[in-house]
Amino acid sequence: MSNTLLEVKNLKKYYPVPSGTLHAVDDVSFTLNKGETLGIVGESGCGKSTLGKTILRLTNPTSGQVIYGGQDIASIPDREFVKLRPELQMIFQDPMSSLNPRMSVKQQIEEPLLIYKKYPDRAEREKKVLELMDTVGLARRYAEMYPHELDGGRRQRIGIARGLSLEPKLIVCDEPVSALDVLIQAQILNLLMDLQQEKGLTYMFITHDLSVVKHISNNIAVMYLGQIVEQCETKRLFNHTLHPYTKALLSAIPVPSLQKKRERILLKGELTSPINPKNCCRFAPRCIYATEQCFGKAPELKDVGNGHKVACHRVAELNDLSET
Amino acid sequence: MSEPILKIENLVVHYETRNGVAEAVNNISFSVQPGETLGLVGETGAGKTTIALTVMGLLPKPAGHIVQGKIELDGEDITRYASRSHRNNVKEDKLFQHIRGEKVGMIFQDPMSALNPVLTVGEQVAEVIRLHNKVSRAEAAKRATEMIELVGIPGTRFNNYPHEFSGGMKQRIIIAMALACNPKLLIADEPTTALDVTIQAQVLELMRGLREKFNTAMLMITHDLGIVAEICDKCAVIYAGEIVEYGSIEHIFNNPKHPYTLALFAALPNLDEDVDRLHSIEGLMADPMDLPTHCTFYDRCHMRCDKCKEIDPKTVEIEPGHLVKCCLFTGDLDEKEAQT
Repeated sequence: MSNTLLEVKNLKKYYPVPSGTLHAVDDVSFTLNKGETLGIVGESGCGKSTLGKTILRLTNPTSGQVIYGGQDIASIPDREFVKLRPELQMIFQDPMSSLNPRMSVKQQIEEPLLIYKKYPDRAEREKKVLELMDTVGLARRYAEMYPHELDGGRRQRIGIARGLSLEPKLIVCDEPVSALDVLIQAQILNLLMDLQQEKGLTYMFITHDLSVVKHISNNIAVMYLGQIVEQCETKRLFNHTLHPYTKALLSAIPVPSLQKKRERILLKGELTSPINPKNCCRFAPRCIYATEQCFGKAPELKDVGNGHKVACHRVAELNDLSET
Repeated sequence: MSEPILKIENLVVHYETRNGVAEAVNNISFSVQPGETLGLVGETGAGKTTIALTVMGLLPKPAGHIVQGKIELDGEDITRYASRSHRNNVKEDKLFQHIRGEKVGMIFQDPMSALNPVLTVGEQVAEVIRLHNKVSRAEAAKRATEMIELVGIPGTRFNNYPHEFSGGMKQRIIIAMALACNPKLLIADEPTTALDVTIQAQVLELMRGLREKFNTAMLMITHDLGIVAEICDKCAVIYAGEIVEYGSIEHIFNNPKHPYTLALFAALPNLDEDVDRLHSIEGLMADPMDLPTHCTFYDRCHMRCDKCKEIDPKTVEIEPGHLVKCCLFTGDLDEKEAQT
């Protein structure tokens, strides 16, 4: 029995817009193993959230397959999918807008249980809600409070408790800590990692923060304008960075230390438009190494050894691949 | 030592709300020298932004008011303008507007909401120039174009509206507006929080270049210690409205002393080292509505002792220019206690 929990094949999500077609997710493929964490990193507008939503069928893909438990969940009928929904959950970025302001903490956590008719007995259901609150570190005295009475960290804990309530196998975490202060961020990251060990959860962790993703992920995929440009094991990505975009992204992080200074690669310009992209390397307009070839043809995501995948024409010229 | 551009002494700011008084800023003193950048670091709700708003006289009325303290801007006492008793006095307001606009520029966190959506960006930059200098419209427009080009946006985009720009470019426009009158002090309130890292790097680079060019002093408000390391000369760590540690960035980064500063560093995911768990401290910041009389960090401190619960520690200078507000360094504890 293979260890693969989820396999995404050539997933595409296009949105029609007045000036053409917006390629939000363009031909993304990857596999996710049981109990592991895949980090998806990229700037805002690169399609990382759309990817997460498309996989969980919160929006329907334009084409491609999402294989979970032996079947393509992107194409099965809704009533079939609903049965799988408890196993595939999501934690959202902004807990204030993903929680219902008119429901108490208890009601929020109880809602999924009611919908899926788990624990029909009221007393038992309440017991389960309180257990969930314990799991995520929310004191029971908050049960009757409303989201606006709580701080960001506690609100995010409600979101996590909701995500856990149906005992999922895969959780897509969409920037769960980016709205939080560092101390609270550390608390939530520790909690997510503890839960993973305890329950054998699989995470797809979407973030723009490379230092967070390094901390929590086994594998990382770097996205640029709807496509994966580099993908490999976490340690390898940081030690043997190959794609020019990943290098620039890494160098742009301000380091909280006076000794360790990184050489800064300043990127020119900003993300180009994902509407009607030309058949070329999408990073080329900002890339310092771009040649004619880069503007003429789109590079494929190729394995350059040890499962390290890069989409760059000049990867062999610019890096000593024998090292990796 | 030259005259400081901004000098704040024993500032106390409260917000009076229906549910009680929030003690947002408690007895803060610091000064900023010409050409120097001071970083204010702290969590959400620590009072960083309140300090900036107080200096600008922008405290939300009628809730916010200065309880005590003195603010000096370029040698001039501006406390009376900023405090509540002088609000709604049109003449004084005008006077303060004049001082403020000429001497201080402010960059806000969210560039989307700081720009007027129905004016072109050029008009918005030119407006600042016309308000503070007696120049013709044409002259103001010319200078505004120069400013826009200075921050790296082609002058041809003078007549574009804010929605036609991306977040990073909007922030550049805000910087152009803030620097249009060549202020002596620039207050930047989380200027890059809403931006992506690659754009953040560009904007920080720009700010660093302009700071040198104009020799502007800067008050950098941020929650990111990485940004402080990159752009600041001095740093004040703020917790529950108080400065708990203050010093040059060498002091803060190479020799942090206050347990809170140590906790902040420990909680950061590190790119260079591998750690299994992040060191976090439990609990939340003390509620500004209900501050304890003893050390405000007591509940979360991992180095606390019984003494901490009794006294509010004094700020002590542990080495020249390095101030810490913690019992461990005041000498109130004997050696043995401090070690346990």
